Amino acid sequence: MNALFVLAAALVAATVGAQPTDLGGRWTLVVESPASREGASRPRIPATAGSGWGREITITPEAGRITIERHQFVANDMQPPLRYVYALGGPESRNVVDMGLGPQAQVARATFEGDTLVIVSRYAEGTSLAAEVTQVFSIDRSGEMVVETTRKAGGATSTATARYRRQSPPSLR
Amino acid sequence: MAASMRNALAAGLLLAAVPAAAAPTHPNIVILYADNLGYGEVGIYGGVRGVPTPRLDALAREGLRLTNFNVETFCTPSRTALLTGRYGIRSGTLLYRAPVTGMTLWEVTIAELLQPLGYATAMYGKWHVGDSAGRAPTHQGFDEWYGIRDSSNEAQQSTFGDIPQIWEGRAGEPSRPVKPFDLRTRATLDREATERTVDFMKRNRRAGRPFFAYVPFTLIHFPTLPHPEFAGTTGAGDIGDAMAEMDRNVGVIVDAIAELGIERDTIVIWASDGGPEARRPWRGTAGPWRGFYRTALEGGIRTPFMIRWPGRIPAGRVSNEIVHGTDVLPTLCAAVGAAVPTDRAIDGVSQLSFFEGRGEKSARDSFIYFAPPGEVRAVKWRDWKLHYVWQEEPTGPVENEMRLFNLRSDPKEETDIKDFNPGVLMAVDALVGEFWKSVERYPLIPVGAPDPYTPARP
Repeated sequence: MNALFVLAAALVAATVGAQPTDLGGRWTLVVESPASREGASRPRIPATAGSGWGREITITPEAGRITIERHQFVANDMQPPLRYVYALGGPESRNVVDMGLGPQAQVARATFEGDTLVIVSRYAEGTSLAAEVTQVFSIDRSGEMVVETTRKAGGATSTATARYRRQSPPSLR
Repeated sequence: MAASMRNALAAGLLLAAVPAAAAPTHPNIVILYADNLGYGEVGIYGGVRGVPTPRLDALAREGLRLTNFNVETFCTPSRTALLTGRYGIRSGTLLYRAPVTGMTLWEVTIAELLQPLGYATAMYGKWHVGDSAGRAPTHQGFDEWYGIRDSSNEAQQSTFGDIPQIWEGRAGEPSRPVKPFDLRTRATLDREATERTVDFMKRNRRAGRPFFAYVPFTLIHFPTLPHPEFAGTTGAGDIGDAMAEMDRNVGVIVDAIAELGIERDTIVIWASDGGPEARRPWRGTAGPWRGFYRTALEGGIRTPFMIRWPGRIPAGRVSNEIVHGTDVLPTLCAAVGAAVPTDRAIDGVSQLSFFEGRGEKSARDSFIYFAPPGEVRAVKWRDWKLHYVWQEEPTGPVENEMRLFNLRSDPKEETDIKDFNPGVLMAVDALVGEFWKSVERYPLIPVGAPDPYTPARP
């Protein structure tokens, strides 16, 4: 049994090994230290907008594509995770979610650039709220995933960085 | 044709195009400003306690009722915003603490703008925009006043180390204490404010003077102790009883306006300076909205507002357009032909055209909500609300997490959708950036700035 498990893990690892970096697994946001108490000094814009991926995601790399599931809902919502599927290295991918405002589409290109995964998504195209979001995924020395997210809209740009900790080892994803 | 003639002709055409009704007049102004009265307490706003408020409901039907009127974080900045047209953060009023409290005399209030036009001005009720010596209402443009310098909770125990008093003052004379402000007199103060308001209106009607009565009621702020005549009458607790009293007091003032025959010459505003109290046992309700005052949640900042001006503001209209407390000063200035100060940042915009029904849209589509001591806590923009940090209860933890809601699809502010609408974040950030840019030109007045205050110029 153990031998089978190791073999399976090795096969998965070999498959993922085709990708420049191993992002597979379930990841949980590393929450920043608690905010200061009322009355303490605070920056003028006190928090960042985060990675754009929320608190918990599962990344599944496969040949030619990568899937990110966002664990948005609680059990009582009785909703599946939000699922984004990105073709790698070429064609645009269109993902549609409904968060209560009706279907909202985002069109993206995803590519591996060296050790990093880069997803460039366009939101609300053709509207006054059109925006482009670039998310760069990498693994640091500690094994945490770093997501640097740059938002562009209306001539303005802002960048936020978030860190995620892997909840399951890559071999068990 | 000479340029001057062309300009004169153009000016003449412009004048001809302006309806006669739009010409500046000097209507009387009565502002009835309730204290921490949540959206859900008023019958016509849903009245969740089932306490009838027929006089408020009628006032609303006789004019314009707003369902998206917004105020600041607590009493003091909400009041300075109303009186000056400026965010509380600009006036240094996001904190209220000894030894120097409230706004500097450099601020220009509605009363100070109306006095030169011949208005008689008075304040009856709760001041709470300056307890320090030299910051009584009579130093800020009011001819006379009666009420409390600070807040209603002073009736329980002074937080300023003295015996709280009910005060009386006239311009040019030192204000004087009339009687202790305690749990007994707290229950009768709004009745007194109402009676004095009626007397003030009668006096000035007889004198043929336009008047401005600013009546910041003390109800239903804690301790929510209604007049003995109303205590225990509604079966809906102290807040229910207080609402019945509020309704009665508004009715008395509205009736007096009718009896004086000045309905068409009098603008009446009734609104609340803050969302519901969170303090037990007097925990109020914001009806459909979530939260309490001192939070950025809708319940904390979206309060009832109605304005009546027969002949000018169409009756029976209800609007969900965004209006902010700072808009009151510019709107009233436009109504009476007074000039808004130009030597400082004014955050309010005139809503007169919108109120008069000449447009369906508010003159603003956003505002910033600031929290003590001076941080940007949230921004409402169109149907969106971005919380820069998250706090559910006034004294609860502040989580370092942005949350974005669409208030029409998610009125309870429950599902954060910032990641799905990045364009909104950027638009809101730009609004905040504009505000801080304005601060470079008009520096914020520090909390506790003494008089005389001279603004720093960059």
